[in-house]
Amino acid sequence: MNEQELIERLRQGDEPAFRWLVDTLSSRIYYTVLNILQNPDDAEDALQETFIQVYESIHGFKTESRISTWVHKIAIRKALEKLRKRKTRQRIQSIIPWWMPEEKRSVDLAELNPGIDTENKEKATALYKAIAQLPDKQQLAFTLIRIQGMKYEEATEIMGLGVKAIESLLSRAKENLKKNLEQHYKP
Amino acid sequence: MLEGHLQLLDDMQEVGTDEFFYSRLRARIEARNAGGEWGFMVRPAMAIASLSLLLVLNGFLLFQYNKTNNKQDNAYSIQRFATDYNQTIQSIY
Repeated sequence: MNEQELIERLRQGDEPAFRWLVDTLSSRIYYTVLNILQNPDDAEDALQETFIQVYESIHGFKTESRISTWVHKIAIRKALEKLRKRKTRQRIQSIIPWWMPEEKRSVDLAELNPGIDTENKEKATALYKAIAQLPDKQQLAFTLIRIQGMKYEEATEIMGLGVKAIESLLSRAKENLKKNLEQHYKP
Repeated sequence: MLEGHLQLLDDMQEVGTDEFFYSRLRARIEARNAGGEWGFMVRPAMAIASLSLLLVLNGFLLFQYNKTNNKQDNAYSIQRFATDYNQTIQSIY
């Protein structure tokens, strides 16, 4: 099935086409969202909201970009919205703790990743913590390029930025990661 | 130090959704279609907005009620005062 055919079938509300899209894209996009939110429940929620939006607004999809890029963009927007809401809730919670229920803590992604062996878990945990402290755009660029190994071409489309801007974000992300890690290991 | 940590990224494996993700998604879409997603009604922002609206409406209605009542009271007491003291205007025609 080519992309145009897939879009046409999705617009007609074809269930197998929608399932195919979800099965094809969900894992890769879940990993992006999980790296941004660092919480599996929030990541699943953001991913579900993403596919619901895809399902409901496929008629408005302009075929200028690939459908995978479009879905990825929606997912990142949803994840960043959740991240901002979480930060706002954490701020309110710190001011008036009796008003808001305690915020769900981030899950240690190092525990979830089967590729990390036991002796490197602590290092990976420190790295994830340092990544979570990065500003949104730097975190996103770092996640897409460095963690997921995405090509610059795809990352520029998803982030709506040029190659130079992404390179600059990556470079600043690395500088900040270094600082954050040094801070983490400070006695 | 950074390079040592960044090397870990190469060992990491992509963590994906489980095999039941589509079923959960489908159930959520069906719940939405059936109008079953009323979760937004219990969100704090929604609750505060509804309560504020209710209070403003309440205040407005109370204000309107008092205004009408005062007007009626004034008209009634002036008329009664005039009658009591025989001050009503009587036409000579």
